[in-house]
Amino acid sequence: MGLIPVGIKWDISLLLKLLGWSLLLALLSVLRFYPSSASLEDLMISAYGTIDVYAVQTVIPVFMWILPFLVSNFNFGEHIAKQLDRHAVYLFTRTARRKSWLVKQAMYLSHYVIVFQLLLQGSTVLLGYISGLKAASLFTLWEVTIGITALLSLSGILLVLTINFLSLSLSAVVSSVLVLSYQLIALFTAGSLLRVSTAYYTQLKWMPLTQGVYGWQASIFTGTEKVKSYLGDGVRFAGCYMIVAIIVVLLIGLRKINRLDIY
Amino acid sequence: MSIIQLINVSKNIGKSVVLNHINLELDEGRVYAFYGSNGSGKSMLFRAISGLIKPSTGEIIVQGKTLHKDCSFPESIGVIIESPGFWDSYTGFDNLKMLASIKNKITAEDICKAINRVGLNPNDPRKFKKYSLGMKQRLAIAQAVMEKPDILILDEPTNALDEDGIDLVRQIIREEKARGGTVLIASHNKEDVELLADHKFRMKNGQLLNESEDAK
Repeated sequence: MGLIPVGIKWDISLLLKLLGWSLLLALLSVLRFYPSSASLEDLMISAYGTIDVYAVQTVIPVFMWILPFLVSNFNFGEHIAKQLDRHAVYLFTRTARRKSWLVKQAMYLSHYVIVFQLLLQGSTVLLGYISGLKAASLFTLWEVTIGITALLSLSGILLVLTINFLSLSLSAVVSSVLVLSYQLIALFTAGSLLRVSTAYYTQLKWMPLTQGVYGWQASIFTGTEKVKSYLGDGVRFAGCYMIVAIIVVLLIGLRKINRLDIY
Repeated sequence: MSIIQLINVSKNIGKSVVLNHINLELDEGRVYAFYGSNGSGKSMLFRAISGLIKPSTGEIIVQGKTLHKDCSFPESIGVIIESPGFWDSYTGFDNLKMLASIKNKITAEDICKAINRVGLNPNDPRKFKKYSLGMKQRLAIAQAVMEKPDILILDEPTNALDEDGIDLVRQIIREEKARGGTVLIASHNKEDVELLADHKFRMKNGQLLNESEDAK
């Protein structure tokens, strides 16, 4: 048996599209948070590093934070369903290795989600710098940027894979609406409860799809106390939680694909 | 000797019955045509025989092996079901090369021969997305025959083809039969059915209604 082809190569037009979205979202963040940011770190945390629990009842901070996930879903939410619809007949009348095909598709999606987050956070730092903001400390800026990018990437991968695997059973639109609605409600609920009391963090940290909010996990001081730490070493917990969740979602997807009827 | 056997095969999707108690025995080296209106179950039957859908009840035995029990799909099968499913940003040759790499049993030369056989140029630098509908269909036929399968399943193989293309497909079907292959075709084109089929089956509402006596 040879390789199982997925027919995927670097897609320049998709990369340009992601760059365009990144610049647009970064510009929105800079325009929104520049006046209240004392440093690049502040800007990074305000943009996609945290959800302000004191304004969470307006839903706007949650919606703004979720925007990059909507972009990811718009570009990748139907990927596996489309690939199956298009290529499954030719592939799966030649090989039974559906699992290996699905893992390759998951890797493809994951790497584009990471690329998008790198472009988004990179654009935010760049536009912030051009606007005149400086880093309070290069080390902190690095730490904050890496932390935010890592958590958002893992969160994005979890979301995109969940939507894609759910669309093996439901329609792609229904899957997207269900998962994104759940994420919106989970973040809103978590934010609202944290506003009442940070003691809720112990329970809330287990709620799926809320671990991507760096500011709810990190204990880092940026000079203006932008980051509220609810649990000392939460970033590591959030990262591990999401890695385990991604593995669980992947296992469910693998189980599903082997039994899937291809119409 | 029967190469394909369906025993009381039914398939339900939700509440609708798309295949309804199908019993069928097909012999080696013959051409079988399936006809019937849209939604009559021809494509579903082909998908079931190809191992792409699992019957709700019944058994499908292909070349002595029960699908979804002894194997998940027939070992030697070439398939076209609905529109060609190639990768847009690759050439025709590269598309076939990628598919051939799965079983890894034919050479680049075999792929070129299959492409030439359907009247296309293996060295055509154009990407698949630039192909006309007829060219896409021809490449799909090359894909189905390139590995010289024992069973060829062709759902509407003359779709989008001009007269030359239709003649070519008919010629290929005859050659495959002469090679000893078993060919199953579904076609709206009555001429295809009359000219090519050794045996005809009519489908309606997921049922195999009747079958003609041997035509040839």
